[in-house]
Amino acid sequence: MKFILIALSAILVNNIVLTRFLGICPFLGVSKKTKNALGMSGALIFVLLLSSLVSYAFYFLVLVPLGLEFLKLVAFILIIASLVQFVEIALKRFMPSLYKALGIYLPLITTNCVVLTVALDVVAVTGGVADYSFLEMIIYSLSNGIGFALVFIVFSFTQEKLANNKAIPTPFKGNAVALLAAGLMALAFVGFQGMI
Amino acid sequence: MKEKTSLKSIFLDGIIKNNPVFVLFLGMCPVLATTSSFSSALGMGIAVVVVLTMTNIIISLIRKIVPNDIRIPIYIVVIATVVTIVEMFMKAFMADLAATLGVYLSIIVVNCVILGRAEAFASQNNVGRSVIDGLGTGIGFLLALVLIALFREIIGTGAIEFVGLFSGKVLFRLPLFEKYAINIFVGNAGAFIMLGLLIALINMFTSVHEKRLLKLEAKKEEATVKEAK
Amino acid sequence: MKKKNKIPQMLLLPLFLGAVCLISSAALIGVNALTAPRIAAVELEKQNKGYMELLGLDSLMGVNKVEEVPTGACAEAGAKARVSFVKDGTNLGVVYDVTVGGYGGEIKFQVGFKDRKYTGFLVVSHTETPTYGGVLLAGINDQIKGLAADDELPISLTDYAGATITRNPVVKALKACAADYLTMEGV
Repeated sequence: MKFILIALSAILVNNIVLTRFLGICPFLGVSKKTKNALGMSGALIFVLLLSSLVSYAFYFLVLVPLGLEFLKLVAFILIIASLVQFVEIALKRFMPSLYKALGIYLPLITTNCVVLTVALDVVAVTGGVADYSFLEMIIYSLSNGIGFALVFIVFSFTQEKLANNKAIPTPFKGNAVALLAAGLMALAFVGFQGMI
Repeated sequence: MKEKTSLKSIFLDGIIKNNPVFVLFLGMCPVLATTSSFSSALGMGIAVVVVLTMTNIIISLIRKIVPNDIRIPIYIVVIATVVTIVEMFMKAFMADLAATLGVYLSIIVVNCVILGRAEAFASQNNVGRSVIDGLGTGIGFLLALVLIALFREIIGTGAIEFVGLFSGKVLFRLPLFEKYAINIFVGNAGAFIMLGLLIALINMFTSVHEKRLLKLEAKKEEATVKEAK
Repeated sequence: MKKKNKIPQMLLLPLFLGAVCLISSAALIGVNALTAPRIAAVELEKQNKGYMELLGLDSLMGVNKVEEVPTGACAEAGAKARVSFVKDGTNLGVVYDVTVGGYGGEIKFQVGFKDRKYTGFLVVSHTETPTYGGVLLAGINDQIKGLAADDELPISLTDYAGATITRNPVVKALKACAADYLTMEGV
């Protein structure tokens, strides 16, 4: 079934962090504690789904009929920025504990490459026909979010062990050893290549 | 009186002290993706220099009339517009480079470096200094990209290949030790590993440099103490 | 006095944002008008270069180009144009311009046929993942060049793991074009 193919491809084979190199900034910066990683992943999946939906609708209902496809970058980034702002306000009001826990990471989702790239991906058009139907678009966005969350959370386990570890030589402490660990993870993920 | 930082120090800061890739650790996504070959790293670096300088100029020009509450969305719109314009020009005149960079060209919009410099510098300084800051930080980014790409390409494929930015043709190929090429460095995992190794190397150099500076200072203090005696 | 200033303030902010958006849209429309024709010209040039490379021609001077729109299964699989080249009465071959949807977007390619064989496969543009789909697309030309048009395509997934979503539409289009070519007479 095409849905399973899209999901497997986005989560494992073409993993958005380890294969397509997107979302690296929060990947290295935020994932030091598993609790934060979980919260960030949840927020990201939510914003990702919403922004793909709105961008998809806006692109095909407004930009294409007006022939203004080249405005998509400006439009999408504004949509994402407003959505994040809106989610922030809603969380502050309805779930203040989660809002506090996420702290500064929530506004950072605006500059997260993952959200913008997925929005740009789902509006791809081939010969006048949209590549992703509405349902396929939902599956694609959700799968990419899950792929990000998967790698993010697993990596936070590694980071917790790496932090303050006395066995690491000084020049490698911090980002360097984190990158090496991420590299090994990326290698492991290459094993998924043969799945599709 | 606050000492005004000289233009030269603004420029050099962007390259060394505040290098966006190796020190500030911002804008990492294109770093890993475009450094698999020297030419795409060069192309990406140039695109970032152009975008960064242009956005710094525009934001510095409008800094006095932008209401403070909505300055971030305004900056974002400006950056997105500049990136779209650069993308269009690249597709028209450097089509092969634009195709190689692909979606990473659009991702410059969410590159933290650009928004960061706009917020931290361009919104508080005049146009002249903003231009220098944009050029300095952009060139710092470019140099970092090219350095990583050189390492990856030489160790990964055993040769350096220069591709014309406008023509897309291979201009120059210098095979060095193709038999001993370690292929992994051109691929995904190699990007992470190479960056990690380079950062460790730079950490080592900076700590050695700092130790040397401390030693010199200690010697100076000894000398002044001796003189006082 | 404060109340008077607050109300215009709430209107002012979105108005300002709207104004900035309008200015940026105008700028983009302008630049688009400037660059779009050039981008189209570059693509056309690439297409013509593709024709020449696929059929082993040195130039298109004196060559009669007959462009037709394919129908049926071929068109469904993505073929946009079927171009036959004739010079001084001899058939130089047929090239199909195809557009299919891959993993990351459109894949535009050209496939050439001559004397009942494949002459080659050229990618005009694509946005696939470089290490999976990109590698597959780069390898197709070597695999099908010189192959007879009614032979099975050797583009197997065991050679190119991870590229199913790229490979399937491309292979489907290639098969459809080959079938369509074989129905042509005297080429």
